Amino acid sequence: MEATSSADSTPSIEELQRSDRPFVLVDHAGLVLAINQAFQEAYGWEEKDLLDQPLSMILPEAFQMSHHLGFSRFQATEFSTILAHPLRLKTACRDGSVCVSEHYIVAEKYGDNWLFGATLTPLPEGTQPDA
Amino acid sequence: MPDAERAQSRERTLIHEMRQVLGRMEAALAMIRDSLVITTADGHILWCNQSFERLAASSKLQLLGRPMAATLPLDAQGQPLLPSDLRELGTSAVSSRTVLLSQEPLRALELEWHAFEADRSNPLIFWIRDITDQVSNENLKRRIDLAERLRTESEIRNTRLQEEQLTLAAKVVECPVTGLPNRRGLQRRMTEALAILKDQPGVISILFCDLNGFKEINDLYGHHVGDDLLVEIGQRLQSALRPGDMLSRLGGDEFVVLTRSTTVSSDPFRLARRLQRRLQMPWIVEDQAIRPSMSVGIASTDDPAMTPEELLRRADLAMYDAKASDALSISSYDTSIDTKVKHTIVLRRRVRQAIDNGELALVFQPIVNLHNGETVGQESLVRIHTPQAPVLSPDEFIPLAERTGMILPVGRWVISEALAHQRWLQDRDQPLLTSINVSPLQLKQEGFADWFLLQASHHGVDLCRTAVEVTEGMFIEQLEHTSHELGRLRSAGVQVYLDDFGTGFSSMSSLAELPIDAVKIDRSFIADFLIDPRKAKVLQSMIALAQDLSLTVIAEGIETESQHQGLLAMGCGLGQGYWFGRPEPAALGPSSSPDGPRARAANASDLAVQA
Repeated sequence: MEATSSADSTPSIEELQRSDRPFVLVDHAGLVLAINQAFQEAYGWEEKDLLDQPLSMILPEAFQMSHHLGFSRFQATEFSTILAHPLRLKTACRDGSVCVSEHYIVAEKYGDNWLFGATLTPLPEGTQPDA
Repeated sequence: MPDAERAQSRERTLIHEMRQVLGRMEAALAMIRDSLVITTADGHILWCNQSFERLAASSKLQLLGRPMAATLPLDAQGQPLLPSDLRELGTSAVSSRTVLLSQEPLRALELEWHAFEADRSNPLIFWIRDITDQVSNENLKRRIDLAERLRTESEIRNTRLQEEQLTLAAKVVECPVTGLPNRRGLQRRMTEALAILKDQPGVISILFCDLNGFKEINDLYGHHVGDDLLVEIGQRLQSALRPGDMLSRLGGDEFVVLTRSTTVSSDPFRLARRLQRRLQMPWIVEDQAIRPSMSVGIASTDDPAMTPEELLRRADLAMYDAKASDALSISSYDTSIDTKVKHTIVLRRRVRQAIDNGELALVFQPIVNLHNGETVGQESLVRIHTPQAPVLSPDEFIPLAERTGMILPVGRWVISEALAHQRWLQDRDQPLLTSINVSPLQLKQEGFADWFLLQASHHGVDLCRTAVEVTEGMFIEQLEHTSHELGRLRSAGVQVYLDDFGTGFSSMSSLAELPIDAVKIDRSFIADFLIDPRKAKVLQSMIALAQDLSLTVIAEGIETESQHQGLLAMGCGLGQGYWFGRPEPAALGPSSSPDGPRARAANASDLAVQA
């Protein structure tokens, strides 16, 4: 089935997945389908911790509710302000710490369901998240 | 499909559906104008809608995780809208507060928050509404209410002040200028005096005194002189009173004396005379001697049931009658005065109506050469011809017009009409002279002569064919002004006749000094000279004197052939009277023949008008 990208000029999920940056793949329900080795090394999470778990697990608590509602709104409206451009967001690490990473998220639709892929690049300590 | 897989599929479907619902709700909440925020129990933001992003001027990503209090603007006093730890807000499930963000421009918010008590983490949901418009309306309403309240209070205060003023005024019984009792003081004393009549029979009299010409003094010298004169008059009148009499000033130039006597007598009249005499002593102001005079109306009663108002009204009417009547200017009230006053009011209305409705008309009485009976001139006289109304006697309406000032419009009309008639005669080559009566009031008007000459010019009249008739009194009152105005007319060719000669107060010797061309000997001399030798001698002397002074002599009121011949024998060359012709409307034309029958229909009331 041919995928429909969220934006034609943006890289595909597959392209993101091929990069050496930390990568996470999420299904339409917001459950983690896959993470790469770079992700595990960068944030301490292992596949057994995250696979089939809500993506909100790698988000700080204060962002989780907003993530669920925003994720749901995209499902309902297919309109998002966070896709296909770099975002500096906080990410929760396996050890409970929080760091700022550059997220680049793309969405592709397969049939009735969306698939989300994102690369996360940890930023130096002290970097402020996006305004 | 194994059961486990089937269950997992159901869960995913359910999650998908739930996400659809949540997504729609979130999208809907993003669109509302009110701000919505969900925070942790201590106030860190977990979620907000777009309206709150605008209020906080930050994006959602910036706001998430921050203390809500820190994201809100400060209030008008620079204080935070909420405590940094929202647990300080208390434990009530629903709370709210209204905050003012700024006064100018006005901006206000209403914050309401709910605690999710079922949730163990006790998050809070905030609902923030902009209530600026509502507050503005309420503010406006408050201002309107305030203005209305102030207006009401002001009205109440004004009413109270007016009441206080009235109460205060009711206590004032003295005239502030003269120190005499005022109207209220007089009424109080009259009430007391009338009440005494119940036990002690007697007579209460009111002498209503009205100064003559006081307005002119005020106009000429100013009110401060007028006030000084009022004080002086008050003192003079007071000095003429008997013990027990009371003098008061009603206002303006009206003084009232209240006096009591044991019987109806002539005492009030004598008192009035005494007051007049005391008053008439000269009063010097700015090197000019003013000789004050007044008219007095008297009303008396021995009836204790008489009201002060009625007694005062009667005295006022009598005073009104006194002003219009005899030289003494004293009149006592009787019931006929009521009738007279009513008649005067009706008369005044008719004269005014005649002026307004064009009911004035001119008639002309011929002036003839006594030697040959030829008409040489005519005197113009005014009449009032009101349709379906009794004929008004000139004896009635002319004096009234003089007193009320209505003579001015009447006089202007007479002059204009007479000049128009003169032009009519000129156009028909009738060499007649038209004489026009001028009233003292008219002649007093500044620029009268210029106005007369302008009218004559307007009508294209030969001024040598016109004359004005004036009386001696005008020279006595204002010799300089009268001489100046008449001099202007004479220098333009208008002749001046001295009317009613012999009845005035000027001496024969002063005749030479007056700017006149002719004398018209009063009818009273003509009526009697044939039977009264002394009047005949006076008449003869007047004719001779006038002729010596090169003045034309015109005899008035010739009603018989004998009078005509007698005057001829005395050397009088001109005359007028019913023997030669009655006053007739212009359409009938001037009479040129002395056909006696018209004299037999003589009407003594047809007087020459002091127009």
